[in-house]
Amino acid sequence: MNIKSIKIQLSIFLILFALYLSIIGSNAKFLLSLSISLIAAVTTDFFITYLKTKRFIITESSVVSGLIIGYVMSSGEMWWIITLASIFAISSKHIIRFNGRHIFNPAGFGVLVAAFLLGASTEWKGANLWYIVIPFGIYFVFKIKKQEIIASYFIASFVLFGAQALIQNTQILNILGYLNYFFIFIMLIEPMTTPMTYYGKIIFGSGAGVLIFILYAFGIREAELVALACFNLAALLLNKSPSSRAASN
Amino acid sequence: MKESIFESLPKEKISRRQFMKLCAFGIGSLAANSLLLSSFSSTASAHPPSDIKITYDSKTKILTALIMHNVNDIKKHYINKVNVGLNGKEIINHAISQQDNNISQTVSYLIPDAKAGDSLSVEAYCNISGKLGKEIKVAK
Repeated sequence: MNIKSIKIQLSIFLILFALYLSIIGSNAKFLLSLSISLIAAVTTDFFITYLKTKRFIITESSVVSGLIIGYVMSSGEMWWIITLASIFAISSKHIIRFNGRHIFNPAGFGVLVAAFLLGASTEWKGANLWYIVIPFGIYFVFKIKKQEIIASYFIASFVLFGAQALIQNTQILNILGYLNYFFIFIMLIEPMTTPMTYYGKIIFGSGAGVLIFILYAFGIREAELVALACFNLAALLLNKSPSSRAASN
Repeated sequence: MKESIFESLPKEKISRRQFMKLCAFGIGSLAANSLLLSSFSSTASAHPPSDIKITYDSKTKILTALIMHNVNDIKKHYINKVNVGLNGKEIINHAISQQDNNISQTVSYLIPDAKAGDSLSVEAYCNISGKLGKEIKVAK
């Protein structure tokens, strides 16, 4: 185990954070559902990787995906729904690919499909504990060089939700209650499914913020996950656009 | 376990100055956000309700739940469903079409069957994403 690997560090953070949440919330169910999603993700990835390479490998990314699914899905869901969400996630990573890379954020895709196909609920555990998610999130963001995504997402969200707050005559600081910090700092920045260029990252972050605002306005379920999937698709174009190429040169 | 998160990232050529500007921009916006948050800690809710305060009055047999859910537009983003359970069995399924106010939703139900020692649970669902459940024991 390479402790310098960002995926290992993220996995350790997610496990320790889950233990903390379970203890303070006296919620053993969360640990159980987290274990189910983790085991399902790792087993599915192990199996598919073996079929493809005939080698026994446990990938770090499958551990991260399984843990994220455990956080986002409701612990009250049946074990087989959580298992299916993990299977959808890992299958998408191996099947829905372009130019040798998977297109969708695996965990986001798995939960989204489970929510819309199976009617699964989400809980986003720990998403409002900003004082834990933000400091560690900033570390991960800088480690994988995705700060442009986060900065542009925050700016777009503040402008749009700020204007809405002014129009609705509500407290402008309420905007901060709209922000799903777990989504922003753990899911939005996934390196394989986000643009690699400077302008691509700016468009990705701000575009996701704008789309989430629009989806909220229409009352669309799982707005963040829908927006993430849309911009994962857009990332293919953003990585190919001439302006992005020029910016990266 | 040999995957590298950077394996497919291209080597972007950006100047040191540009990189520093970018870092300062990112850190600045996040620091500003954190500062704002420090005055906002108790109400930040993301999507799921941030808290549910349940009370049960044994004399009147009325259960009241104060569901904390911070929103801008109470008609577009609100608590759309509340489920009440008695000893693990769902007894009330309440659909709601808009929120009381920008901070919270209050619901009250008459639960005549609840006895001392019974457990009463309340689950609140956000219409966009996420739910939260809390449970109390009926006092003797």
